[in-house]
Order: sequence, then C-alpha cells, then structure tokens
Amino acid sequence: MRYLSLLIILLMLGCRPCDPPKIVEKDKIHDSILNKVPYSSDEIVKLQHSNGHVVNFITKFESSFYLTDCERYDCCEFIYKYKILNKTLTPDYPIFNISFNFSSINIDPTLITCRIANSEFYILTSADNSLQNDVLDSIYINNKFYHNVFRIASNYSYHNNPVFPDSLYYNFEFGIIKIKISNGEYFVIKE
Amino acid sequence: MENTLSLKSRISLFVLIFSILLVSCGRDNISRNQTFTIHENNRNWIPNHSIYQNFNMVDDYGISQNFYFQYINKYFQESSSSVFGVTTQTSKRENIYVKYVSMYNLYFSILLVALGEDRGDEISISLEDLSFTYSFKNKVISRISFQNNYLQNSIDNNGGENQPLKSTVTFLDTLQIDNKTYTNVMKFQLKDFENLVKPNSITEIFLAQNYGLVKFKTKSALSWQRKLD
Repeated sequence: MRYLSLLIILLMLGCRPCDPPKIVEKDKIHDSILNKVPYSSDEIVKLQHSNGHVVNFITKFESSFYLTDCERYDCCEFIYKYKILNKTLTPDYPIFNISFNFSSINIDPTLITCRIANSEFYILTSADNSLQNDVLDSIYINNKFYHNVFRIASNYSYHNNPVFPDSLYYNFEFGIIKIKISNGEYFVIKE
Repeated sequence: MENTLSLKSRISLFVLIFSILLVSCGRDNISRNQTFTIHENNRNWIPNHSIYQNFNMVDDYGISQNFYFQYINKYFQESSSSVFGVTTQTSKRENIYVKYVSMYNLYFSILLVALGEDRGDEISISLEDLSFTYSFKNKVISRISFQNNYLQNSIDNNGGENQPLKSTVTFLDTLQIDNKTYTNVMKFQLKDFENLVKPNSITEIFLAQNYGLVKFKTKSALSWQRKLD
C-alpha cells in the first residue's frame, strides 16, 4: 500500500498539468503592407479579356483571428493570436475570384499571397523585391504606360491543370496590370 | 409439464431441421448472388478513353476554360441482405465515375450505376453546384441538387423530399457546335429552385455520348461550348 501511494505521488508529480499558456497578440498588419494592394472596399475593378470582354470585379475585405497551436510535447508558455486578412475581388461574370491574403505571422511579414483561379503568386513588398520579382520599367496597355511593374511568375497550378494563369503583372499604384494565362489569353487593367 | 416439454421438443426439432436444411443446401444455394452490369448503350455516356484527356470550353465572348481530367474509377459496389444472420442475397452493382476540374475551379463529373433489372441504370451529372440523376429505365429525373438543396422525384422512395420535379431531360439526335455535329445528346434544363437561381447560375447542361460535356448555359443565357483542338 505504501509503495502504491509513493507511485501515485510520483506519477502526479511527473504528469503535472500545464499552466494555461499566455496569449500573445501578434495581429497587427501594417498599413504600409495593406496599401501595397491599392484597392478599397466595395470598389469596382475592371479587367478586360484579350478578346475584348470587360469583367467587373467587386472588392470585399474580410479578416479573421486565429490562435496558433501548441505543437510542443511539453507545456507551451505562449501561444499567439494572429490575423488573416483577405482582399477579395469577386466577378460579376462566371469566372475566377482573385484574393490577396495577408497574415500577421508570415515568416516574411512583407509577403502577400495572391490567388487567381488555380494559381498562386507571391508579391514581395520589401525594399529589395527586385531580387525575386522581374521589374519592368514600363508596360503599355490600352493607350497608357504603367511604370515599375513586377512580372511575377507562377509555377504552381492547383489540380495539376496544364492551363493556368502563369504571370501576374503588378504594381503598387494600380494593383493588377495584367494576368497572362498559359494558353495565350490574358486580362488587362481597364481604367 | 408434459405440454411444456412437448413445446420445447417441437422447437428443438424445428431448429434441428432448419439447421440441417441450411447445411444441406449450402451457402450458395441459400444466398442469391447477383451481379448487375451497366447496359452497353449506356456506357457511351462515359467519354471515350482517347477523349478522357483535357478539353476546352469557350464562352460567347471567346473566353476559354480548360477542363482537366482528374480520374476515372470503375468498380463493383457490393451489398448484401440477411435473415437471422444468414446471408440470403448478395449483389454487385457496377459503377463508373469520371471527374474533371476546370482552370476556373468548376468541377464536372459523371457517375453511371447499374441498379439491376427492376430499376435499370442511372446516370448522375454534376457541374459546379448543380447535379441531377436520371433513370434510363423509368425515363425520369430521380434527384436534383442545387447549392446543397435536394429534391427527389415522388416515384423514388429512398427518402428526401418527394414532389414532382419541373426540370427536364430531353434527348437530341444531333447538336451542332463550331462545325462539329454531336450525335445522341442529353439536355438537362433546371426549372426547379427558382428562388435560388441567379443570373450566373448554370441551368442547362448538354452531354454528348462518347464526348461528355459539350455545352452549358447560365440563366442569363451565356453559354460555354466545346472547342475542338
């Protein structure tokens, strides 16, 4: 009986329950990053297909908050509350959505993920973004020059579909300038 | 007491005879094994193997949409029924399922199922958030779903809401698209869920034998048609 009590005490000491972790708020996304996607809520963004049809996209902003999981086997001292913000462009025509995703706990907080149809693009907003993005001095579209345009490639297609948007032309002043699809079709900004 | 014993004896005798019958008949004689296969004509609603590959649809404004072949699954679904733990009937129903997804994330699938001599074969077509099931034998739509809402024809008693369906399936001998004539075309027209249907909702689906999806239309009359490579 004495041994049993000792064993129980040892077990209790060994299996001491965790103290509840402290929640650390890491849910700020800097305006300087948010403004790199220069659309405001309920704005109409027009994109013109290479065959002429103009599609109107309506912008909506949605944010949600999450807590990180405690992935350690022993107790976590902290867990983090973070924010995901989506700026979504929904078309008035049966075609693809465009969404810009911001996360307050990205490894690189200056990274914006842009999903178009079955492709994903990564927009770097840090000062040295030219290291990964191909920068064009200007591009001429619908009788207008757009300057400092990043040409961002996507090598990934959801569902392995061989046809997908493979290039995004983008600048911080106008947002999407052009979406090129691997079948030769494209959409361009229509002001 | 005598009566009780007599009743017990009778029950024992019955059990004994029943057991002997079971043993003597053998499992194969007691249980009916049935295999239902899809009728040869109905198999043509699954696209030809050579055309399983990706296909293109183009809308009225020349915007194209590539559909990518994901997989085809052919299998026999087994089911059985039993009495007092003894299997009395086993059946195997042939299923063929083929699935595509478009570059704009539209899902399209065809499911063919053999349901046996009584019920015949059924085909289920799904495109985006619209799907319907048609019975070749009864020549009726048995089920429709739209945006996760379901309707079931009153002749099908497998549960669900029973009411007459307004939607229709018709068969066209030919359908001309872009200088190509498709033969044996099934046309589905959604006439239910009127309060849920929006201008961009898909309301018409055209399926050609050996080719699969060849055309679809929205309520706003925008159409997407098969483009030959």
